[in-house]
Amino acid sequence: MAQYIARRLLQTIPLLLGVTIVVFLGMHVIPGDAASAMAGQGVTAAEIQHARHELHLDQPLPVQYWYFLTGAVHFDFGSSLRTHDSVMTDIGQALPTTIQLTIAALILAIIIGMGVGVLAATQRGKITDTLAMSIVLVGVSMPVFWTGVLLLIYFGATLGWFPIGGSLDNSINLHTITGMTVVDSILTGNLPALKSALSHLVLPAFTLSLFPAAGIARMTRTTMVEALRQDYIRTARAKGLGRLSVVWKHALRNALIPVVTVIGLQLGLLLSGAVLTESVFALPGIGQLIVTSIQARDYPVVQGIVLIAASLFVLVNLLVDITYAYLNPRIQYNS
Amino acid sequence: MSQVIGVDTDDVLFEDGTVIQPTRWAQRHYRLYLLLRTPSALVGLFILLVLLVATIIGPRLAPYDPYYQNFLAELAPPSHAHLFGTDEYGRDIFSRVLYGVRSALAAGIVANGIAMLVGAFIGLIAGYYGRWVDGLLMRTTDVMLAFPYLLLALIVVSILGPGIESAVIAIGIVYAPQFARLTRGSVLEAREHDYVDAARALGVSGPRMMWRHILPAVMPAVSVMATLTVGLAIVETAGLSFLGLGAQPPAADWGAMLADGRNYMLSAQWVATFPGMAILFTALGFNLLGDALRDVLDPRLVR
Repeated sequence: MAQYIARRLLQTIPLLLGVTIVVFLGMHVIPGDAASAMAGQGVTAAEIQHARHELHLDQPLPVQYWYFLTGAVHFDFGSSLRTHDSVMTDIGQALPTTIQLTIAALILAIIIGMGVGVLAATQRGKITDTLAMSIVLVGVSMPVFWTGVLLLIYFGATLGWFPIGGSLDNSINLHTITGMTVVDSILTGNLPALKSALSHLVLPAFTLSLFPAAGIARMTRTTMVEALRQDYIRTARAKGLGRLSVVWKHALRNALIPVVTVIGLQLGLLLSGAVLTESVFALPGIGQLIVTSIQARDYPVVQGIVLIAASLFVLVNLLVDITYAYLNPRIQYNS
Repeated sequence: MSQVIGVDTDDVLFEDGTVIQPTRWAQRHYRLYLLLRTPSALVGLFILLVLLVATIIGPRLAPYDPYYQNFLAELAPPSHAHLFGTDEYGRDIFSRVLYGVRSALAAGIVANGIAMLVGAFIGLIAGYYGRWVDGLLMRTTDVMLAFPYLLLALIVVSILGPGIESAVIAIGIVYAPQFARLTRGSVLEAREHDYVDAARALGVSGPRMMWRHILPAVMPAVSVMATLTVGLAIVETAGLSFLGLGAQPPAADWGAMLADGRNYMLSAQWVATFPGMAILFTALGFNLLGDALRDVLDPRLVR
């Protein structure tokens, strides 16, 4: 197992290098370099020249890449052209919101997806199954940004059950520790803040969870139908075990491995969906930040976000692979 | 309807035990026959037909010019005069949604076409030449797949600048690696066939071999995948427009209209509701047909 983990870790290094090359070259082909953008109006050619020198833009491409790479390893992506803060400060403020949203959505997706999947599998062929699978199909087809707007219209604007955007009520004062509103309010024991944070989180997390929940439901149903047909299920029932216990303990446990893979696959979709969800609910996460930065042509921030998000994605996938290997005794560690 | 579990030369056996004897036409085109027996596929086909009709005669059906601003009817709720209501400039939403079909289908199909062309080309070269060419190209696609798809699209849009063309190219590039992988796999399979050896023995090689002998064998798999991804490509291009990075106002584009409707969530819900329903309807059509197609074309289901 340790050897397997080590090998998978080594494999991610060229992948991460590739990611840095794509991001570096991508930002390099943009017309007009950072120096001329930074220099602004009314500056002399000599000053621009100086800025170019400062940013190593007068060096050959491989040398520039080297500076970029060593900077990236130290999480140094320069400073934002818009706010003039360091890029890492801006990202550091936005990232916790996105992480909190993604984790909340993932948990919801697993609960909803597995629940619906198990229900459909046990009721296979009956009306409940057909109904559940039709809802799943709609769930797959609903664009996340429209789901969000609809939920806002009905549960936010019309019924007034939930706030219509943002991550916390303005009146609430919350001491920032992790930057995740729910975690911070628990850590500081701030009950009003916790209530506000949760009520701001429900709609976006639910919105973001629907698409992955549909995928998980489909996979759970397929593997559960298979598992429920096995002999050991009949044996367990014959032994006199209750129906619920057989379904949830015996069948589900054995149906779980493919489901874990699907959950892993959903993570990339979750990160992408988070960008759209944040935009709908005006959540100050990295999705909002990257969209604003693209519109403002603030390339250092775009570069930083893409690099950080892609690296996170690669690392999470690595974790999923390792979990998968751990769960599945049939996997070969040394192939 | 129950699942088909086996097909014989004479009978089609269903999971629930029913056996039907297909006609000669059905025997000859049995996959198409199975597709047409699947209710969900029919619903999907019906939706696509509606979209096709809307694309062709939509502009004639539209009661108003989609860009005509009627300042006497701003944010008017749905009525006989305006079936879906009007937006903040008094433009008729029904007409704009109808015109939007063209924009959505064109975006989805072109984006998918780019993905298919680029991906199939890369996959063909990688699979055919193998060795370091394969290694280099496949590692490159691995890197592309290492990005969450929307981020990759955002890089492309930030390089090209916001606009519907950039959004379409971006979604095309995002899907290309998947086509490349699929094509490469099929090429590796096709290379093993005797007719390829025969062609090689006759002195055929290089581009001619790829174009004339390998590509035709690869195309079915690639075109099936293309059907499965058009719906996704439409939704994702709309997503970029929703973020303000794709189609720009005043374009009659569903994503852009939805983004605009968000501003009137409290007062005029119809502005956001109808373009969203149009996207859902379209995606549902492609997904229904795609799912059915995937089941019917499952290679385990062999005559």
